[in-house]
Amino acid sequence: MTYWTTQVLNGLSFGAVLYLVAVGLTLIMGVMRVVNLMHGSGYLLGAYVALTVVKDTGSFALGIVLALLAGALVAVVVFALLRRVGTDLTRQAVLTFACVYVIADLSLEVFGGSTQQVPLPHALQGTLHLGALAYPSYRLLLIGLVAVVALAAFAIERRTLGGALVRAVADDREMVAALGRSPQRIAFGTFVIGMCLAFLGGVLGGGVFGAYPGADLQFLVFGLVIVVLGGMGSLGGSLVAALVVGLVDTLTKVAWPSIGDLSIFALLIVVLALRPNGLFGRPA
Amino acid sequence: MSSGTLRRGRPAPSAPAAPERARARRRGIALGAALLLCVLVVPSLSAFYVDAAGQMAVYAIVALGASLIIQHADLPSIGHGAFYGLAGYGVALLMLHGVAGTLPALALALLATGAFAVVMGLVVLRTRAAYFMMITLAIGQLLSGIASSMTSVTGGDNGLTGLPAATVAGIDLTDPTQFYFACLAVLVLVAAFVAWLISTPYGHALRSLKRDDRRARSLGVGPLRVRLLAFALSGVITGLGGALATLNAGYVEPSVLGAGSSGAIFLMVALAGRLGVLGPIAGAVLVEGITLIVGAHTTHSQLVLGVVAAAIALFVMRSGPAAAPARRPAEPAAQEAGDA
Repeated sequence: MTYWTTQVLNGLSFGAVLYLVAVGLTLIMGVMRVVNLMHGSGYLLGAYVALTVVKDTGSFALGIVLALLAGALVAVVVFALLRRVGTDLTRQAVLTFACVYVIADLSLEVFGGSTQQVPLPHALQGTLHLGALAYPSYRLLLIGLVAVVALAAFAIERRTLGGALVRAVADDREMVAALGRSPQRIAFGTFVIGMCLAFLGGVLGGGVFGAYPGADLQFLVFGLVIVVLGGMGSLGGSLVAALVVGLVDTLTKVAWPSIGDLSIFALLIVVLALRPNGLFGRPA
Repeated sequence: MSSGTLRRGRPAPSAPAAPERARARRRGIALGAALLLCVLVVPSLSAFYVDAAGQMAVYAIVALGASLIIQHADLPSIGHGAFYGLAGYGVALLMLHGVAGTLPALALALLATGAFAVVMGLVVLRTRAAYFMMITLAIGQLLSGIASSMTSVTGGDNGLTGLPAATVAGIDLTDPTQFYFACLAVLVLVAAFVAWLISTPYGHALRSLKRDDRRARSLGVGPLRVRLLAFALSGVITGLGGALATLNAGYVEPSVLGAGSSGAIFLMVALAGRLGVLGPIAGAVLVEGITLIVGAHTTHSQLVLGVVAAAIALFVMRSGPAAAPARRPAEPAAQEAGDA
């Protein structure tokens, strides 16, 4: 029993990290209509920046702050490039995939090919005892932190002017422009926030799942699966889908180690066959 | 009005005008010369370049297959590594488990790849544009994850190795020069097939779907059936390239199924999309050229490929016709981009 509770918590903490990556992706794709294939590279860079900072200064908080700054910087550069290629899907895909290549190559050069973890502060390295259950306290904190982020995202989207503008741009760009707001600026803000969340996913997830060559594409694909399952542009959809994917992936890999990604593959195919626009998506 | 828009999508009923014919003849001569160069010059190069030419030729086949869907059906697949890898694993499994002869193994593997493409097509062809891109990318990468963990069947991360010598009609596919010529011959056939296919009424139906599903349907074109056939053919041709490459290398590993492999195939087709049937060939030569030749001198072939692809996306590629009608001249996004 405690064994499976542990595995469910493992699945939830994986889902929490996936949510951080996927929520930015679903906003960027839903609001900006941009295919951002370098989003998984944000996870990788976030983890690498954080582990460098933590190893040099010993401060986990500073690692988070600098990783978020780096995320904003990368977002500004990529956004400027994306603006040049305009609305063409193929050009966006080529450009952002080119960014994947560049970042992967440079990361391999600087950080090497082995899996590295973001060092955790001493206070978070222990295990928490809850009755018979002993569980790493960092993972519990991770789940809690992401729950806070998810609640904040909902509140901002539903209750603030910024959130209303983001929803408005997703629905009708021209009308937003006619009302005197710049859709481009709103799209820029969404892109920066989305990329920063992916970097945050790298920092927090990097303490558990680590950073390694190939993590960029792996997190990109899990992010894409979540966006597809949850419905493009849907915050609630991405949260539910991220937790489902995290749980299904973790539990099936524990039960049948040799099936690998087969369960997520089957999940994707079944949901698509039944609901082509995802669980919470609207028809395009 | 509708008849006018209809005619635009079809070949002109009269014979091509004189300058058109002259251009076609010039192109024919240029193509013949290029092919002659490929036949005469490449074998005299060093072993490294013969090998590289073989890889370029086999990837040109792969890219031509992918172009049927990406270029001619305007469905941006980033999952064609799946077909490359499935055919590769198929042919490797069949040969390791005692199917007599390379040709029957190749045929069976391609049949299986085609069947998979039909099933995958039934799911993914219900989606469009960004969704289509995301789902195809996910399917390829997930298949790669499955292949790397199902160790008992696929050999896991190490893949399948130690394939018996592959010979088709006396041609030893593991010999670089013979492999190069075999791939060049297959490439010419595949290019001719694709050029023929897109000029047939079927090809016009396929391309008419790019613009407007509903209009095509009203003319009696069944969108799903037309796209599904293209998807299956695309999968089989890409699979043919993957199987040939596997037979040449003597092994196959999970990464060929995944996002990296699919992304490279997508780049080959997308980078030179304006060049028609020759585009995927040029793209394959460019991408494989950078990967192999830069890769032989430095460890940074990915960096070079990324910078070149980004530069092409920014400065060479033009936005496709599909994107044009959606963009209105008054849209502020377009204006601001113009101001920058």
